Amino acid sequence: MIDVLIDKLIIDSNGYAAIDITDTITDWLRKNKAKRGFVTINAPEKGCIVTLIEYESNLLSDLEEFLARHGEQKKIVLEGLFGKSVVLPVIDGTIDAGVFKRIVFIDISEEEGPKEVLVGFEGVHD
Amino acid sequence: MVLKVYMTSFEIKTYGPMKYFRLRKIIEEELRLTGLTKGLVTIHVKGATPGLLIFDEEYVQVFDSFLKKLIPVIGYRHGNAYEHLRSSIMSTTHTLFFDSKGLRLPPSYEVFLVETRPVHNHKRVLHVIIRGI
Repeated sequence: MIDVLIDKLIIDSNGYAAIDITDTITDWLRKNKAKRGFVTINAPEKGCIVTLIEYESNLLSDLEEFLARHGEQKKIVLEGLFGKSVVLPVIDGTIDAGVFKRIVFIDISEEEGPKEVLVGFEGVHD
Repeated sequence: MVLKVYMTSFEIKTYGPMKYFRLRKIIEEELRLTGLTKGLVTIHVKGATPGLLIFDEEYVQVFDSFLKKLIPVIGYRHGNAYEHLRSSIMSTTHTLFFDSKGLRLPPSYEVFLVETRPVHNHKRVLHVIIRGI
């Protein structure tokens, strides 16, 4: 039977970070026995982004430079460029996104503290 | 009315860099096969470098020029950073509405799979999740 599960996760952030949350989302899917459907991940707070990108130190440095270069006047532009949500397929309980693609939470708010990430699964679970 | 959900996957052979492959007809055929008359369709392409672009076909080259200017090929630590950054900005997942006529998009709009990599005969896997009534 199709079901919808919605939850709120808390990410500790120093206000300027790129955090790989793929394993957190995978664990959440496992805990909820999600089998087949799709998962939506959203960063509702100001200055926070959820994007899909390889999580590799040199690439993160490149991303940081890109964000700095294009966000120097209006950081809010970056939320428009990268978006605040991603949707991924869940097949046999795992996210089928490819080898290198990771779910990355980016915080450019410069406000330290816990940040909300909303997770929604639509599909079939045990 | 009962909500129905379908998931299907297919492959597209691509070449690149920065080539645009039309998906609209393929997606609309998948929608037709479901028999659903309205709902939502989420399209996802696997991998960390491709892009999905919903855009007016007439102006694709305008978008292409803009993206290449925004994210040039050289000047990074990570060798193919430009592919990843272009992919992240275009996104690899989009959700659209549909009705009995097909996707709720203007006739001139396409759903493009964008191959950012300099590859030949490359296999890209796409997932399409359709739900509606």
